[in-house]
Amino acid sequence: MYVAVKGGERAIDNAHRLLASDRRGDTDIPEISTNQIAGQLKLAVARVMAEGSLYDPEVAALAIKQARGDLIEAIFLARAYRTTLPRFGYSRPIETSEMAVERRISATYKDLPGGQILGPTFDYTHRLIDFGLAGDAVPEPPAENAAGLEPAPHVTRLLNDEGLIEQNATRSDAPPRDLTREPLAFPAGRDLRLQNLARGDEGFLLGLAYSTQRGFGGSHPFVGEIRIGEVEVEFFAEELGFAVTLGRVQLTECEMVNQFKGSASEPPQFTRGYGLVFGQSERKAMSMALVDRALRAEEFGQDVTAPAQDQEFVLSHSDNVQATGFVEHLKLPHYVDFQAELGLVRRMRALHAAARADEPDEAPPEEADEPVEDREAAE
Amino acid sequence: MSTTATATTPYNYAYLDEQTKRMIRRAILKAIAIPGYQVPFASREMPMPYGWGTGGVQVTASIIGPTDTLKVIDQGSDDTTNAVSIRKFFQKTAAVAVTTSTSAATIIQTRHRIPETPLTAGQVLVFQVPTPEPLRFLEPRETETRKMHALAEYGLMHVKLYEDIAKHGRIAKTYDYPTMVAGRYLMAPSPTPKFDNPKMHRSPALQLFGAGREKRIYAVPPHTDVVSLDFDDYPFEVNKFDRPCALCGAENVYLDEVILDDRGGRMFVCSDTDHCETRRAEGHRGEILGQEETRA
Amino acid sequence: MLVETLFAAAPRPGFTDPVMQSQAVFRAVMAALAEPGTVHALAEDITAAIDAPAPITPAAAAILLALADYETPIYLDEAARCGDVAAFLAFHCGSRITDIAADAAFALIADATALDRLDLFAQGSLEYPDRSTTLIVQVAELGDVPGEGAVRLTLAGPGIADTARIAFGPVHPGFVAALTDNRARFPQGADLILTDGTRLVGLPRTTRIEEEVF
Repeated sequence: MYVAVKGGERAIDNAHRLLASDRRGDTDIPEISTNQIAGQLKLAVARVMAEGSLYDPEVAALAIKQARGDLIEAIFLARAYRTTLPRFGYSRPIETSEMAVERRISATYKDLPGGQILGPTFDYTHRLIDFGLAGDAVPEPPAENAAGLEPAPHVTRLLNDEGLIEQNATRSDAPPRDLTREPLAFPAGRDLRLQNLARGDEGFLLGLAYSTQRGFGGSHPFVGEIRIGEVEVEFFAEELGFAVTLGRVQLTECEMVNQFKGSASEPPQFTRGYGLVFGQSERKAMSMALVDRALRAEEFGQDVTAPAQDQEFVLSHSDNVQATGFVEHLKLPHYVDFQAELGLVRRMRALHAAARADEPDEAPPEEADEPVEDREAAE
Repeated sequence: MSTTATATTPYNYAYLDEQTKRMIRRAILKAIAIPGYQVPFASREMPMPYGWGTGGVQVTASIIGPTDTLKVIDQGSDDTTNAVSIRKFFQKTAAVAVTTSTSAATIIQTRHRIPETPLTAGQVLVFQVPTPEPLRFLEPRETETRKMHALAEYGLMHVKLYEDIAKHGRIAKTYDYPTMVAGRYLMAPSPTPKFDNPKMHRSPALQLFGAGREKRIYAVPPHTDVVSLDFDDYPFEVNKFDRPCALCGAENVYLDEVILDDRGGRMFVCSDTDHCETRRAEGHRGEILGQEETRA
Repeated sequence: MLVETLFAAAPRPGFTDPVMQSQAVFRAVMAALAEPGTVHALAEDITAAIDAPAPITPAAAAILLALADYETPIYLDEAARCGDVAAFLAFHCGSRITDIAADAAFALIADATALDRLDLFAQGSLEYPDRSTTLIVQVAELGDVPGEGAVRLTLAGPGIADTARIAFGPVHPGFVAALTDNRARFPQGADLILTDGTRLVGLPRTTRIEEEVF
């Protein structure tokens, strides 16, 4: 006798058990520790912290382990955890000019106060698989770092002295907008745009940034500066009446300098694109800076023609947790809607066949194979 | 099935923190006061993916209490995996009684169907909505569609439906069929088959719609007009089936097509599993079930 | 207002079980707005536990405790504008008290006989009609039998099968006209919750009203 599909609950439980066992893999091989992940897969941890919007290397490492290395899944876990945490308020703005610099480069000047510091970078490594790493090779100890101790003012400040670059917006005491606390509405201010980009998917921003370099929203950028290092985070405690230091976070900051020919009201000058992300992530910070500048098109009287300049397009599609959820939801059962479409297509095919039978001399209709619903995805 | 579970998680009752619940509750109240209008709300990240019912779950979590009885369906069925998963979530976090019986439930969370058993006063139907904006596929920009709703300027939708008729001889829209609510707002009924649209019209139950990824909540209060768009010469009509349910013999219900073999064998059975089981328990027999019982 | 007046006395008690009582109060408000004209009583364990400072009634306090917080400025009418009420709401809700009706998410109207306009409250915009004030209006009488200064209304619209009837008061002589104007501004407009201290009735902007002469 026919029995309707049942036992969804048991199927789910069994799938979860299989998942847990598959995550662990061969039990003869030692389990990976979150310390190992946090210490040796730092850049993965940094990405999960940046796009998960949560600076917590331990949680990020655990999320990577639980997600079996699927970083978007790990970001999702970090976000779902973050949303349950109590909120005490907003920190004071961080001072990246006081960063303890680990890496700092500028493409616009050969040398500059504070120096060029390569730091731990893949740049200039030859991308040859290092088979020595397959074993337990102990690396040479790093050279003593003499640079990075003298103050390193921002390159844009140096340009500012000559009035060659737009002034940064003056600091406002207004509470920052927060897209995790209120729904995004358009047009969105730059504070919300930067927050959105900082949480946005690295791959999506990279593709958009690349498109601006290929003429889709032409910008002519120079890396004014990239700096990586730790900064202090301060919180102003109302009940104490002064700011207390909560700790230090590692950040990557990128300031792009873009040529601008000027407008009726503004003289020719350089303009800025800004990127700031948790951890070491130059690709993300640079992409963010390029997209930030592209999204400022209207502000400089430029036509909005390219995808990267279109804030509704960029901001609505940058979040990989949203994107992966909606793309992947297509694997949920849709048979009720599909049944409705089946019925319609069958009926329309019958009508079509009948019409052709009635008019044997007519040329075949041109749109015979056109899909019924061409714009609408199943939901 | 009717069971009670106790809450066993370290999280707040029904998972959401109280501030989030208040924010969602305020959005629900405004949604009820402006039927069919999509209220923006600060949708939270939930421990399930966007697109899998996060909007419906947030609405249910914000309204549910210990005296409620919850039913969760997906595609009309209580047993589909996502329905099971969401029901479990509330059993775990909200210590709530659950049921598969439509008439025993005080809150029904649904994806893609409205139960066949008529709803009654005091019940709340919570829809999981992927795309709350009925105009989205005609105009992708929120800034534009918001203006259209502000001015009740819905010509674009009428043109689209009319083009369908010109091209296909009928309105080629079988689910998520656009409706007008209380004569003012154009509303997406969520991707239920249009078969279910008439059930929304002047329903005695409160209907709430949650779209988590798109951050919108909207509502249809009880006894409110929900009219499917049509033309005088092309009136709205529901999906029709030319046979009854093969298991319970019900007519005028929505059916799932079940493929029985790879030689074209198929049967049609109720999509609403509770309705079908209730009818069979009452002794109703469809074609296939009748044959099998005769053989046995 | 001085801080010392704000915290002159220890705050009076609010909910004894904030999570469950907020939920119960919200459900009563939701049902009241979903079916305008129907009367919804709050559970006695809720109204009895709340010791709100005069002139705020237990039901009005319960609604604010359930729904207001630091994101929702509250407007107090002249009768309610006193240090005790402000301190109570600041302590239990964390809400900012505003003197500007158009900024208020919620408004507490302790004296309905002074309320003759609704258009001074936030109305929302055509794009965002949800950004409007919800008024909590305290009345002495609520139900079927109108007393002195009360009105009896026939209601129709969303949430009402055919028509519904409700009597309440006393209210300002211009109150019914203000309600009619409010309906005319739809989809913009304010939403009202009437309460007699333990029970509540919703009058959302969708409700069409007709005054009965008696």
